[in-house]
Amino acid sequence: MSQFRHRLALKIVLPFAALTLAIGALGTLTATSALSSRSQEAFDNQLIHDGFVAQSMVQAGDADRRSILRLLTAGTGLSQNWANTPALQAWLERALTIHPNVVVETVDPSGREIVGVVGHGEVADTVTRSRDLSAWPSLSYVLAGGALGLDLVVPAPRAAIFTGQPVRNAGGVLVGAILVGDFLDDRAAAIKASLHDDITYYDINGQVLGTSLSLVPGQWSTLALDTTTRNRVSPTSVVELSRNAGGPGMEILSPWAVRTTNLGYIGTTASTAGLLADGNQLRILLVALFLAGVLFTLAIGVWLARRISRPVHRLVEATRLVSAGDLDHQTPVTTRDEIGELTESFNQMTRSLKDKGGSLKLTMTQLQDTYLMTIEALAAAVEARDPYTHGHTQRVEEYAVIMAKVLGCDEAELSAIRRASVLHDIGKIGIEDLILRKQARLEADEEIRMQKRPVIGVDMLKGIDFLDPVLPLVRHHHERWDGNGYPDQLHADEIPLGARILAVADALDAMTSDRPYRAARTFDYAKTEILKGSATHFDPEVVTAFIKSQRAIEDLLRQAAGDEVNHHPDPDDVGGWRLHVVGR
Amino acid sequence: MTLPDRIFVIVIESEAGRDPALMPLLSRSDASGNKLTPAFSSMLLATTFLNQAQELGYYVKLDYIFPADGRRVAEDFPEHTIQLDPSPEGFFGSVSGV
Repeated sequence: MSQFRHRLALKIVLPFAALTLAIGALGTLTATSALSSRSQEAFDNQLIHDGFVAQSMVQAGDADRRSILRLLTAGTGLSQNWANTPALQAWLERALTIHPNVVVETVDPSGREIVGVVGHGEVADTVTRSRDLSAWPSLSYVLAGGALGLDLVVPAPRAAIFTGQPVRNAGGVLVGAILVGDFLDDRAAAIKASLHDDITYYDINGQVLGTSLSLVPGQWSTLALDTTTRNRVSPTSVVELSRNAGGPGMEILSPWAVRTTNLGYIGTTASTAGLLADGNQLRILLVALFLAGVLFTLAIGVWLARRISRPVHRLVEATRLVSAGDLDHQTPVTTRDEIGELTESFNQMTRSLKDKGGSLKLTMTQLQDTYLMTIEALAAAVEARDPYTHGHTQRVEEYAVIMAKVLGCDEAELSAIRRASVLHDIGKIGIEDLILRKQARLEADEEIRMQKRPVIGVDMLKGIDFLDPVLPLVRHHHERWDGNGYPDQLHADEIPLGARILAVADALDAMTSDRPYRAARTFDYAKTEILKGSATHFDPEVVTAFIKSQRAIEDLLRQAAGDEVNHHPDPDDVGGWRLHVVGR
Repeated sequence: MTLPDRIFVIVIESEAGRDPALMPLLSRSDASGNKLTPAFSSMLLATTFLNQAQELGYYVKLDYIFPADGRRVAEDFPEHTIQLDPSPEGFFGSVSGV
């Protein structure tokens, strides 16, 4: 029955658990998805906004550059110092102390650098001279005096955007050009400082010119824009890309145009690390909440299940007790629900069973008693119709009980021996009178028939419960100690003790009673025969008990024979040795 | 001395109960300290021995006439010297002791 324990509780708790898990998992998934989607949307909106701001800041930078160029060329300082390089350098350095982070290049009409100064705040500390800048894109157009102001991008060695214009002397002769520029990585870093997004400048072919991303120039090629991406970028729409270089992030691309010149693209990249971290934190929080909810629900489920199943378990235990025969057991009714009703019904059923069982048991006992009386009457009748066996069962019982007491048998064993003594020959009913009452020794086939008596007797007695302990005695009282008896050829201790006692008692009475073919033998004769049969026919321990109790047995024999049998006139000379000690 | 396959020895009552290892056999010690133990070729001879011993005044507190294997008795009871089918007079003589 133990395999059924807690099945009910499981049936209650498992659906709870499954439902909670399903709802919790679905809820967590939905909530996480919705919140992630909302966060992503906010992130995208912010990124688009930052993209526009970044573009504005780039345009503001362009305007600043042009303003500085105008300031440098508006007065006479530039033209006055143009022909004197040291003076021009000093003048430029002074000018750049108020325009930091600006590059100023001056070139002669052939495109050779006169002097170049990079502003770094209060001190312009980088100065170059005499480099050949004629290869700079569009510079020749400026030196040809073709434009008052032109924006050009110089990619190497450090990408920068310049705005330049021709320089003429007082006579209006073209003496060179001046260009004011910004290094693009500096511009990107400046925008990042205020916008907190990374800025990347791409040329018209999608190659990186400068970026605030934490990448060395050798890694810039990983950011290059392919043709498809570039074609999607227009002034009226943005393109969003997922980036991993320099950390996870999203980048939006917008056109980079200065006045009417399309110079390339500007990328604004916002890191998604924070967004991912927030999303993960949110998921962890939701999963933790979900698990807590599941545990709480399970705890409630287990509590409810136990509350329901405990009375059921009590009821199951009660059914076990009742089925084991405890009809006095009453299960306490602790609930007023269907289980309580079931318990009350079970108690009523138990009481009813007890009442009916009592009367049934009584009837069975009466039946068995009646049957036993019938059997005993039959046994008496069997015995009575044969004058040679008259009184046999009574004498066997008396002898057997005497020996059993010497052997220390308890009351239950004595009771079985008494009953078996009365009933041991009941199997004679199944044997023909011709054999039973034969005046001569039995033939072999007749002996075989006679040997069926114990089995026939057991078959007759099998239906009576309380005779169960008696049956082995009836069946085996013709077994022999050496295993040559019948019906089962049991050996030594395999034979029940009561049967071994009955064997000696039966043999004693058979020898000391008249038989159709001979007169009764003397007690001494019987004793000698029993002693001879010790450890072969009879159990030597029972034979010893017989020796010890021979005085009492002889007394019985004398009573039965009306004191006619007196083999030992002086009773003190036999059987007394068990009370004496040698050498003590 | 050759003993029959089946012999009977006399076990006397003991407070130690029926422990085969401690089973006290009827015996006596001779002058040289040997433990002499009577054994019988039949239970009838054993009971006759006991009966006659009683008549002679040697009382035995009998517990059990024990069937033993004559081929193994020396091994089972190494401290005993077996006397087969002795008379009570011959066994008890003038010595007493169990």
